[in-house]
Amino acid sequence: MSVLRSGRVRKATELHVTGLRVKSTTLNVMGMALTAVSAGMVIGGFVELGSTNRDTSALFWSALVTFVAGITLFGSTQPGDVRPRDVFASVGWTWVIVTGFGALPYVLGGTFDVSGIDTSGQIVNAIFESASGYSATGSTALTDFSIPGRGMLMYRQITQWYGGMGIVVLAVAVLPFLGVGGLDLLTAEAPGPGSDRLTPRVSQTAKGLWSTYVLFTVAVATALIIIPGPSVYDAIAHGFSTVATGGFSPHASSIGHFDSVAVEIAIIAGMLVSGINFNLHLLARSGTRNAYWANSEFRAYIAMLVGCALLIIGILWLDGGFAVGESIRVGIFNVVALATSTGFGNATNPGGAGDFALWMPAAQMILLFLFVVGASTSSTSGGIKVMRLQVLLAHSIRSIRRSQHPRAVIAVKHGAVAVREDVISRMAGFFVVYAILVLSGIILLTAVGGGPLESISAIIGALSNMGPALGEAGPTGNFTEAFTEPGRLVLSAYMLIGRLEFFPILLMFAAPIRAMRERIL
Amino acid sequence: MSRDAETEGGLLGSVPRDSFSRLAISDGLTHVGFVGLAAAAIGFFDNAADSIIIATISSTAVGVGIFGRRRFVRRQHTAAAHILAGVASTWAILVLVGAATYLATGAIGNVNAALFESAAGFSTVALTTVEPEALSLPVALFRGATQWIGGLLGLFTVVVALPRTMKGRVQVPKGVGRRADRLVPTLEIGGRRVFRMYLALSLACFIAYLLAGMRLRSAAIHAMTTVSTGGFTDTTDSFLSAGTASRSVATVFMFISGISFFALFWLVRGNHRRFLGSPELRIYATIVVTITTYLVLAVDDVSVGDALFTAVSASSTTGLAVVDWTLFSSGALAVLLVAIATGAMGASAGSGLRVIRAWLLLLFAAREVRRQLEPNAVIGVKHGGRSVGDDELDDLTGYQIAHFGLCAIGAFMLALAGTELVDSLWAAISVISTFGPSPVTGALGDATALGSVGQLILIPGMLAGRLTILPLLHAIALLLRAKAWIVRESRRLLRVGR
Repeated sequence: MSVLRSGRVRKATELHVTGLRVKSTTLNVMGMALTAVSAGMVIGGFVELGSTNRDTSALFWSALVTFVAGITLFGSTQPGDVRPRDVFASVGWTWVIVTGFGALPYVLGGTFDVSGIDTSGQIVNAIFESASGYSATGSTALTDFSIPGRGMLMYRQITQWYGGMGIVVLAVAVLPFLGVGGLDLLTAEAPGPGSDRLTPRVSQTAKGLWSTYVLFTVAVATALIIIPGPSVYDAIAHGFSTVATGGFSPHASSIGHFDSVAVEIAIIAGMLVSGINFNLHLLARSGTRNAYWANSEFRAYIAMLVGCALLIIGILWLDGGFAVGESIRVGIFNVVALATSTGFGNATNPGGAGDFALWMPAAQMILLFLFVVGASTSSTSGGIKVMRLQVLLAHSIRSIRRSQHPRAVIAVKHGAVAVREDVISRMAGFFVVYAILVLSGIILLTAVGGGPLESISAIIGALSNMGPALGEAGPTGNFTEAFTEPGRLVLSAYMLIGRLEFFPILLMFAAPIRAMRERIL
Repeated sequence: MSRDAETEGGLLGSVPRDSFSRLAISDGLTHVGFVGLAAAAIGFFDNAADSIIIATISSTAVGVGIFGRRRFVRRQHTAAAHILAGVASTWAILVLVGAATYLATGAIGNVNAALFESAAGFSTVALTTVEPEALSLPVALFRGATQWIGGLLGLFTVVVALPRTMKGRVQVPKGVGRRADRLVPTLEIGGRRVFRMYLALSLACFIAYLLAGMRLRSAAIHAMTTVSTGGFTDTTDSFLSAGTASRSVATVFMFISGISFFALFWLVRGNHRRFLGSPELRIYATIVVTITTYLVLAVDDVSVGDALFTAVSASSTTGLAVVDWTLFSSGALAVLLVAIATGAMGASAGSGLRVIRAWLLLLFAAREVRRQLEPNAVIGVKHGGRSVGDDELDDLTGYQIAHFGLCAIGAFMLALAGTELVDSLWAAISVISTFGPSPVTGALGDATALGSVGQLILIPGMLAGRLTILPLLHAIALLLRAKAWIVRESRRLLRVGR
């Protein structure tokens, strides 16, 4: 026992201090992420240059503070072990800290300095907006879009771009150079249940994903530049938030601002592509034939979109009194926007056809289903993902069949492949945790004054990184009016939990607690 | 099909045929018939016409039931599929008998409402389309008796039939299943024991209501609907105007009715330590205490007694009300909905997800979170001192996904019929948990607010709630099989015709 204990102490010492640099993967990754985030603030500051408001200085000062904090952490630490608990701590804490620093520009720039909101309210709103950005959610606490300047709004768009694929994926591309294996980090960060080894080296995979992400961003921005209507600024801003499936827009009425079918088609295409498993994009880029259609999840994703769109179009047309063309336009746009968890709106004004908060209950129910499911695994979207839904449904059917034939041996299949029992168990666990989080979130949110409709949809929306909710928090509403300050903080936490698929945030205390326990023992 | 047809037998066969379904239907009809005859006899001097109609229908039911009991036998080893089919078809036949009674007595004027009223009765859902005080005594007693029979049917299903046949899968976890061997050594003995305990509980509740100062008629109806966790009352304001003593009796018996019959059996056998040591019972009591505390703290002007009554009513999925809880804050309503969805203990007269399953799901979730940290570790889930196997957990999660799916489908259908989104979710969850009332129907469970379409949509949900989702799914499977058979036979006949 004493040998074990002394061994543990020695290991703990080795883990934490080597020479002048502290060994800590969490702090190291955090430093790297903060350094990267400061670049986004600098870009926003340059866009803002020349304006008379305080956004320019807010962005540059924030960038400086964030950069110094980042470089200090990065310079004074070196990567340690990459055990599961370290991975979760790295990802979870990085996201929390980045959200905190990301709120600085909003606080310093007075983005939420409007009548009726005190200092604490402004800080809460800044954290909410930052969490919404870095989790690529798209919910906003902004009540007056004329207060932030173009640079601040561009920074807001960039936060989503970072959040879309994940700051840590960027870090993973760098981590291998530091001699640390990055597959665990990639698995924890890349949205979806797992990241297959598509290339021999993790760094290669990460670079492939990253370059695909950049390529799509450029494609969407270019398409929007070509289409009449959006300015170059708008095109780039929406390029960022489309591919990230974030949903922020520099305009209060989101995509409805342009009132253009061509713009909506370009955005729909961007969202659709971003909702597909990025590994399939990599496969397609590597020349694999039929990479998309051969994938069972892709087929189910398309079928779900088509089915839901048809249902909603039918409901809007037959029950809602919408014109056929209008039903098709708003139906398809909103189905894709919500299924991919982007959350753009195409209502040209409050109460317009695209304002789904005013749609019939059955149409809203379908949207709520899309809130829950989201798009494909390993895409930038949120939700429980189509593949999980497929496996869970097959698992449920198997249970029912087994209740009739208790001794039958029935495999759960996804496509033509039998799913391993441990994978099914993990997915079922994910679903149960999801349900528990939703229920506890609804209780928390309603307890602090949220309305039932707003609370249900906002909690599910936050966990799925959706953006708009229903009721007062709908596509033309905002979260400041719909929720109290504690409610917005709860939602901020849920956005981060949802972005990282629950476990990193839930387990981010595990590594520090273990480290403390090891030191004490 | 041909094998099924042979084994299920026919009504006109000369020797007893092997058919669990028909035997179950016969038993159900006999029970309903006798209870209906009792209601007719008691209510004869209040309304002779209604009594005669009920007596006629009930006599027919008893006659058919006795004929069936002589005609059919149960096979030695009844397959789970046949039990599920039997349970579902018994429930369906009883609903038809109940609806016929309401229509014949003129208590309800249209078929939809009569079917709904009957389904709400036999599934122990506290919803009604009628003005309870306008019902004649025999009809009111019959209405209460339908909930009593529904509670009994539910108990037979979850305590007697399924655990033994399905070896503890899904319905009742194995640990309880093993204990089931003590309460249910055979189907017959188990059935008898459950019936006696249920009857004793009902009589005790009846006497307690009388002692609390309730009228004879009300005491009889409330005893039947409290012990079955049905929630039907013969007054329009449920327990709002009831005295403190009556409320206390209701609170106690609702709580008892939410307790597992396995645990109650230990108590009957004098094994108090085992009863009090039941982990599920402790969790159930903790839930009730927590909700009561929350309601007292979160809702203005609610006494501890009222909060306790509401919490017990929700947790046991009974549906009786002493306050209009639909006016509570959103937070309190959310907590109540979670309590309703969680429901009572497994193998009790109450419904919902069941405490044991909700607890196991929590333990399962905790294990999966731990597994993230230690992917290769072997981490077991323990409950009540025993490990719960992976196959049980698999079935549990699979079954619950189907349960969630059913709630979602029910809510969607209601929304399609025009009910608001939150109201749809509430109503679907409440009905599938056999609680009944929701913000759309009010705390008193006025089902007319749902409309005819809404009422029809909720009927399958009631079946799933009362008898678990499996009989419903099996019934759907049978219907699909029947449809396929009809199509096949039609094509064959057409070919022959040509």
